[in-house]
Amino acid sequence: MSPHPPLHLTASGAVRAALASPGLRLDLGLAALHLRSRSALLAGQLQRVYPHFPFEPPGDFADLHVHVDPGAGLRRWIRPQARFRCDSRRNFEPFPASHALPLVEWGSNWLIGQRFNDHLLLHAGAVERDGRALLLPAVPGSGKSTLTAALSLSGWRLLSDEFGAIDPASGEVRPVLKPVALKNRSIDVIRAFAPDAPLGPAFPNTRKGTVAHLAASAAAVAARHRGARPAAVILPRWSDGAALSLQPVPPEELLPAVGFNAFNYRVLGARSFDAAVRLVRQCPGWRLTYSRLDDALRGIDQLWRDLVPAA
Amino acid sequence: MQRLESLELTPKARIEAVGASWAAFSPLSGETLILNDEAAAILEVLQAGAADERAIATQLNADTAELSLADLQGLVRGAVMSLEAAGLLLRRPAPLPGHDMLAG
Repeated sequence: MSPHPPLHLTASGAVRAALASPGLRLDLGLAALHLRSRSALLAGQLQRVYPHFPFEPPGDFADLHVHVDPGAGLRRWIRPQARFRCDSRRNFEPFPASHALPLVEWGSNWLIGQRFNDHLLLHAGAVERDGRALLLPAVPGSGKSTLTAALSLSGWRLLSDEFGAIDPASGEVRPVLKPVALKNRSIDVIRAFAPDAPLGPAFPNTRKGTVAHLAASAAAVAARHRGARPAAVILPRWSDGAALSLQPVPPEELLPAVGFNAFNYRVLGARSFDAAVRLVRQCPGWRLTYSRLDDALRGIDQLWRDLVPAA
Repeated sequence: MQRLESLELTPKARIEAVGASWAAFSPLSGETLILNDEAAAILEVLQAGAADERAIATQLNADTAELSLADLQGLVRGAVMSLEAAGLLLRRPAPLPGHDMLAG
């Protein structure tokens, strides 16, 4: 158990002060983020979407050192901005100051996708049940995050909404635990699915429309250093009005899909190939088409019961 | 006089059975490919050692009675071009006659 209190039980003034200096350490499992900012808004937003993460000083090692500052000169007062800086480099255009959280989320995701090349990083949702991981690789707009969010609210442990991080040595999926980023209609879908879902504030008018973040559960945070061997790969696709369809995908078709949805397949070269071949040999694949979340969850649940005997 | 060329697998290329097909990775191109049966058969022959197109076709002809040697040679030529472009095999000049003697 962490010796540090969780962020949501920490006084907001203490979080704000620590975030300003020396910064907060967010241990995401595979990666640790050291975040500094003088934004009081960001401190409050972090408490809402990282509620169960420990309130840690940045004493230990961190992989990513991120600073979100308000910019200089008149920008401090006129249409203030949030600017993302990592290792003294600015990789992104500034966001409005009120949108510091989406900037931190997208920026840190981008950095993880660029830097964690000791793992095969799939653009995938990842959840765990009965000790085994389910991977959901998909292109943006496929309903991956909605499905991952719904699974995480239905007894599955969230490993990641963005990264299926596969350790090439062990074949395990490692958690990269961050809030699930829901966009546009997905926000209302999840609100309707689970009215008590711990959603953070909605951020309208981002490049991807309105975004809101679903917090990871206390159990998922407590287990964020525990990986899981994958048991299945599902390629999800939301399609308006479509009846539920779960079609097996043979390994020779699953392999290109895995490679296509990897951030760093080419960077890792033969190690990617070996890890991907191992994955598709070990895990059966399915193509899931759905329009109703309940149907999709029922289908996945049935499939999982057949595949993984309950622990 | 045209110099004979032999074909060989690109060093460190990976070839693995995946489901009903074969997948290959080329360290030269960084590409992963799902191979058709002809390409997989050619690479299998080359796993045993370098060979020219005619020798590959002859080997395949010994394994299958469905196609004539001439048909197989045409098929091998086409597949070899694709495999070479994908970085899965290399074309090298065949050793000159007497090469072993000179080297020895």
